[in-house]
Amino acid sequence: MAEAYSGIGNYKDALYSTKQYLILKDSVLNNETLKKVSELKVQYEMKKLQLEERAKQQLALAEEKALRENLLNGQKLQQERILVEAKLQQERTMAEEKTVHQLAIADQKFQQEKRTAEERAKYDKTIALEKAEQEKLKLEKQRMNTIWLVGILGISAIAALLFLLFRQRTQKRRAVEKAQALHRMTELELQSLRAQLNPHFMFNSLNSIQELILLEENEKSNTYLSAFADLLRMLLDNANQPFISLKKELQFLELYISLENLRIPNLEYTINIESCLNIEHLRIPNMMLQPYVENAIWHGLSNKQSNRNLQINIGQRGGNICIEIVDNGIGRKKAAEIKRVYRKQHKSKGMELLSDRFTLISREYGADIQTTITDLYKEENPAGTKVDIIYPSWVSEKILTSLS
Amino acid sequence: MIKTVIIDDEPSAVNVLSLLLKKKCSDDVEVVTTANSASGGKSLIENHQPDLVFLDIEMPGMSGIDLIRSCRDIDFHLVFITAHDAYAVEAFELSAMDYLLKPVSADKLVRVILKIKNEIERKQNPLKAQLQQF
Repeated sequence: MAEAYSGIGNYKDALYSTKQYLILKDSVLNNETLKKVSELKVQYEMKKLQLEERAKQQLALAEEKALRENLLNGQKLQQERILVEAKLQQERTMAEEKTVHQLAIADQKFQQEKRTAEERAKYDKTIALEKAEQEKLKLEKQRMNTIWLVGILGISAIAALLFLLFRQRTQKRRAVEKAQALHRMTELELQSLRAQLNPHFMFNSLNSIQELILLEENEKSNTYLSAFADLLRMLLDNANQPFISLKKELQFLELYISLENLRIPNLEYTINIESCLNIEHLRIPNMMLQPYVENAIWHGLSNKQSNRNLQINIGQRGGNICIEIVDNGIGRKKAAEIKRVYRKQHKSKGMELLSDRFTLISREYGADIQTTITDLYKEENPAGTKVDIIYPSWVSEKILTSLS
Repeated sequence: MIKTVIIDDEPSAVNVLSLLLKKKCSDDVEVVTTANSASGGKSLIENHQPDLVFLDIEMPGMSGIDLIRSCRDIDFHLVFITAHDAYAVEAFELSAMDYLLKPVSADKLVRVILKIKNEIERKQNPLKAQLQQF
């Protein structure tokens, strides 16, 4: 083994193997090999020397190699150092350059930034200025707006105040007007009552009754005296009522006509009422028909000698109550001729007052009471007068609701 | 006898006056004629030459006042009759004219007739009238 090792040159191992071998040989072959030991010792010594020499050689070689390598390494190192240095130099220069460059760049950048910053600042400033300007404008605008707003508010307030004042005034004026209208209405009603209580009618009626008494027609005088009393009672009862039922008005008219009949003989009259009408329910202005009937009797029929006829027709057409007062008297034209000299100072106020009352009613209720007067002719000769009154039914309803 | 004419468009008024005169003053008054209009009354006055005229103021066609204005001479006693005429009554009071209101009061009618009768008598026989006054 050792040989083998030594043969390869591995002396240490060879040595070791040998030693091993020797130990082994000692233990096994203690006795027989003593002689061989010396041989081997010599061999070993030789070998040892050889090996040492070789080792020395090898060491020298190794040293040389090492030296060479050292040298080489040193050279290499030197070279490397140079290279490194060069590299370093290069790097330094590069770094320097870089730094310079960077510095330059940085400077540039800085400059640029500075510029941009300046520009920006400038820009910002302008923007800020603009903004400030804008803000100023805005503020100005706001101020203007505020001024406008205050102005508008002020104007509105004044307008509102004026409006309120105006409204108050109009309301006041309206109230006054209403009060005046009411006052006028009452006055007209009273006047109409007075006109209705046509003094001539009253005294002539009384005169007629007096005649009956003087003629000793006791029963007849009693009848007419009662009728006269009834008429006065109705007048007094209705006096404070601006609206009465159609039935009451017709009752009054019958009394009135019957009393006139005493003074004006042969006065025939008919009252036709359509069955569908509820005359107790219907409300009409007090004394709405009387003036027309009075006119028909006093001007149309009293101036005629005979065949005196009066017709009152009451019907319904749509939403209206139609009242027709027809007389077969002398007609308006002839009556007017007579009237002109008949009573110069005395005006038949009944019609005038009635038209005023109609105006007031139309203003208060928004209703239009239409009256039409038509002259009647028979073979081109005057044959009387016809009065048409169109009275809206809803006025009656409105009156009824306002009463309740 | 006092010759009397009644002019009134109201037949009942004429009747009432006639009846009252007949009842109360038949010894002194005689109603010779009556008229229902002023124009008709005028011719009656001219024809009958009455001592007394009862005249209504308000009549169709021509009023009592118009009738009096149209008369040349008024040689008769005049009593106005009216139903209701405040202005006329005021005028009569001021001018001391006689007037009657309808319906006529019998007492007042009698007084008016008596007054007129005395006046007529005074005119006819002044001495007797003067004596009567004493």
